[in-house]
Amino acid sequence: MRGGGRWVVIGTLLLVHFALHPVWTAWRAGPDLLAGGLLLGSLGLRASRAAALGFVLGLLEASMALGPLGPTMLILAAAGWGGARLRDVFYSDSARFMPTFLVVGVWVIEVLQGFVGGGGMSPAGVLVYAPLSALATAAVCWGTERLVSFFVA
Amino acid sequence: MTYLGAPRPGRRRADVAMAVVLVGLGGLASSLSREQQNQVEAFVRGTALFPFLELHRASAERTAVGRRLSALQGERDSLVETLIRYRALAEESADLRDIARLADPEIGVVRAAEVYPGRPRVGDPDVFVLRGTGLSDLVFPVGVFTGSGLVGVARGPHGTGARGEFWSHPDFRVSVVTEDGSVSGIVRALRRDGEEPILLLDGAPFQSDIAPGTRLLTTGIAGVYPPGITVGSVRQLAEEEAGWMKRYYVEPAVRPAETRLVLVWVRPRLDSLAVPDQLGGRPLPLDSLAATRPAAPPGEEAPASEAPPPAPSEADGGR
Repeated sequence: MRGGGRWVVIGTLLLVHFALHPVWTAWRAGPDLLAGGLLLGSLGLRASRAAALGFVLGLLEASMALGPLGPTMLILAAAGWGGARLRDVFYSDSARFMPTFLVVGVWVIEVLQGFVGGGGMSPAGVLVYAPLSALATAAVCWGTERLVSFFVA
Repeated sequence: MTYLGAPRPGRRRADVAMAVVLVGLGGLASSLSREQQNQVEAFVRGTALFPFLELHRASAERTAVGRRLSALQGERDSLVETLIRYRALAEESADLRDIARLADPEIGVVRAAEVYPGRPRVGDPDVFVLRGTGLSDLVFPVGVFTGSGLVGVARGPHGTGARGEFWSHPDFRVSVVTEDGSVSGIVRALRRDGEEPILLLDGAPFQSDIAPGTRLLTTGIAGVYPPGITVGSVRQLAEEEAGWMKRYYVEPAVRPAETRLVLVWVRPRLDSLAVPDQLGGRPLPLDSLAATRPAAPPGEEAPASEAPPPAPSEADGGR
């Protein structure tokens, strides 16, 4: 999906993320729709704009979760930047690229947030909960994209 | 533009400049003090996140009302039972204070507040934000508790509410005493790897022996927490320290994750807690033997540095 449809998906993911924030925080391996929306957005933006998007989303997330402002903004800005740069490296219209990109990207973001923002992460968090969260994120993003494309098309 | 709107290589310099700016801003945000970060967070929560937070509040209220109804009825019944049991004691205490002509004790009032629902996904899970009216003008730090026990401490204002730390926070300390008043100590949080945080009673005298299940109450020393609030109950002996003191594991009375509605103590003004007021307005003698000394001969005045002896009254029998 490209253009307006993709931004509808991203907007939906971010709205659902903030609207249901208490629900996601109650799950140990819930989907991280903020990271999913950011990574999807980074595919359609220049690296600097993707980083700026991550920076703003980091500010919102840190304010919502009462987390550390600076590290959260920097991690998500770096994720946006990295996502946009990776798009130049890989051919991103491959059917397998998007889910792999989302799973790996969300996994990395979760681990970074756990270590830098949350003060530490157990081995189970790194190897079980973060990958499960990444898989759930990819599944929700794929489902939302299918749903939006059904209505948009 | 290349495929998918990717930039031309010539724009990379602008991208790098933007990255430098963002890293600088991120570094600046990291260097902000906790109070300054509070202000930024409060601004964002009051503007961009306000609709979402209102939605969370409304949803939490709807859920909590139904879930808490039976629990509230149970709490009300147990409170009525407690009131009946302690009414006679309170009347007896009031009679004794009348006889001793002591002023009524001022224990302050409380304000109801709501803990922001949900524990944060990133950041510090031991921090909370309170919503409620009249919280920002309190004198901080001040104790936060429920009917079941101590929740934590509010450290400062946060927008129109307050921001604080649960008892599970590493900086949390509270002075406690056992129900019978025989043993006192300091309670702090203990977080072992992979386990829920519990409390640890530090500084109990080596000779003391606290039975499991004994309740620990706040002493009220230092005026941050009101006296008599349940902190937890002793679980077991943790360790003895070289014949010097003992440590006990303490089961907390309140779990942060289950906390929704809390009470914030509005402590009375400091001057009303001062000792002279507790003595019915009489000044406190600096020298405890001053009242027993013979009065100074006429014409000789006491040195200016000495406090005058207290006026005799019926309460102290004219000693």
